[in-house]
Amino acid sequence: MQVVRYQPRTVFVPVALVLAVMAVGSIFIGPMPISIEQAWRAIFNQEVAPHISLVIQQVRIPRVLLCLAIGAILAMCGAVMQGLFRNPLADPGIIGVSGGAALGAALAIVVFAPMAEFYPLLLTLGTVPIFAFIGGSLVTLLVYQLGTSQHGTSVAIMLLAGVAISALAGAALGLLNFYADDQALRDLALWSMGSVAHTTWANIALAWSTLAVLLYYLQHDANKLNAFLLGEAEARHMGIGVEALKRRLILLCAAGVGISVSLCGMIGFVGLIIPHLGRLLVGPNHNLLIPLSALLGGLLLLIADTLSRTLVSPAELPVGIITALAGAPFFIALLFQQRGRM
Amino acid sequence: MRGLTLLLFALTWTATTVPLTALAQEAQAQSTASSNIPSNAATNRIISAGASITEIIYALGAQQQLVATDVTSHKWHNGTLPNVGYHRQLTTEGLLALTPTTLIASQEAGPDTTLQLLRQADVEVTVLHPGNQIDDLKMRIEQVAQQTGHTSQATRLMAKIDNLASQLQRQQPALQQQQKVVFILLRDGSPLSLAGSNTPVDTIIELMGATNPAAAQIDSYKPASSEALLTMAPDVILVSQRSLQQIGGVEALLTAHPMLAVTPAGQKQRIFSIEGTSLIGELGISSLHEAQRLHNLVYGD
Repeated sequence: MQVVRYQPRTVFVPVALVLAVMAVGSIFIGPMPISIEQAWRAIFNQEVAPHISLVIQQVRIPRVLLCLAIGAILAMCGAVMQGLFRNPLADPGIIGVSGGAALGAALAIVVFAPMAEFYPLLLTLGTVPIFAFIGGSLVTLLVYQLGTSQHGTSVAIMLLAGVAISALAGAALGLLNFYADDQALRDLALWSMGSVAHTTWANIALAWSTLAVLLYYLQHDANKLNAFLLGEAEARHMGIGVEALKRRLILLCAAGVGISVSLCGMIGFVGLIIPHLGRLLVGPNHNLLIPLSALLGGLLLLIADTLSRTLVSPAELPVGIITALAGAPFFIALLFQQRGRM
Repeated sequence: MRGLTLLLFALTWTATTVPLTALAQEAQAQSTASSNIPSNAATNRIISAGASITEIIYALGAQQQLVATDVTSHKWHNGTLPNVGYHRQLTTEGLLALTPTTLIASQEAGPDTTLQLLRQADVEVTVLHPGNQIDDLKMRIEQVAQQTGHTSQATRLMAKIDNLASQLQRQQPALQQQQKVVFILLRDGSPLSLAGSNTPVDTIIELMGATNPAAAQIDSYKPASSEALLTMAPDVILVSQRSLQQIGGVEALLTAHPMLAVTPAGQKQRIFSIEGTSLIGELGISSLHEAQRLHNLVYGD
């Protein structure tokens, strides 16, 4: 790990400012031409054309809010996973949440959606999110069980089990793809690229309360995570309840990623690159890294979603494509720069 | 730890009840949805979300009222109209930015949140009658005619369709003389799929005076084993024009899928292409013309 490069204040203040400007700015940007003055009136519920207030209040503001929360959750979970597994390649997917969630969603789309004709209740909006959430939780639980013996949980075994179980989930996904009809295939492909378009106020409330819970508990464990960076044995000798810590963090990340995947589908790369960017700015201290990751994650997803809404309007590009398109080259550049140090 | 577990439990519970709340909201929105507003052809701004819908609008000569179409309707306007993407992933703001008065869509269009917000913004969302029979098509034409105000054109179009339908009916050979026709969907990297019942092409096969042996066994498009296909012993095989061109003609198709060559259709080289637009979405006007053309091809000699 590299040395601390900047004072926390010189990082946090500009990042928070940019985030605030972007958040407000993206309310003014969109496929529908709305002047700043009209948007302003719509935000503060003053008199304005009804379709403008609908777009501002029910499309743009909810999306900005959802982006901020989901981006923050994914990035924080990524930072914690990388710390816990002491592996720079770890992302929330490593414990199987994403793979399991994808499998659950595929089951819902391929197997249960056609059945919905006969059982109208199944046709509700909720089938895919619920199945994604259940799938993600079950697979994480399985990976955790595989990594746990009477001597405690081994992160190395969990890492390998996560890869193996994700591959297994991928195979099951392939099988479902094989039997899916064209429509289900298309739905599945679009779901796996992620979208922040399904914004109900209930979704937003859920995302923000998840964020609040995660921020509180992860921040609470930041010092222990710092000790963990020295090694598991060292952390234990420092008097840290290592097993409880691992269980708690895995549970928190699984819930965080599971909820965000079930609300927005698969949005890749946020959880992988943002923690690296954060470490580059403030170093590996989790007390700073976790909140900074939250800010940066929200910022990245916000920018990506603004592009997703406007690039191919009136249609919409799945946001996962943009985060990967922007994220991958950035990550490669980061690796290139760090080659000597790793 | 216990507090944390409780909190997580509460979150999970919310995650599973959120969709139910959304459902309740939707039910409420639907009950307050505005009723039919009389259409005014001069000020109509219509978005068509489906190839078979765009086809009807063009057939009625109402295309001046169109402001955008979905991704499958490209053929009719060659990209001169904006593309709203896939009809199951419509975007609220993207559509509203076109200041439409009406969205005409199939039952499959969505997501529901978008349709709901469009209704709230006083866009009339017309969901067309589903189905792959001629009567369903006529019902759809009537709905579109009402929306566009092109009722006299609709009367003429209906008469044309009735004519075509009765002509096709007259041409039907006796049941024992009907040829067995299957439609094969070729996809890169996947097995061959057959068109079963509830597909526009199944109706085309029926209208051209043939039977589709796959319809009794499968629904929509499903992968089929070579043995199942051989057992069906089709006299004629239909493939879409585009996939036949991609693979490089009938000869190349038989080399790529040798088991097609041993079917009666393969042996007599009775493999015909069918025009793609008559296959997308639901049964359309071009599907009827395709049925007539294929009837002539299959029974012409």
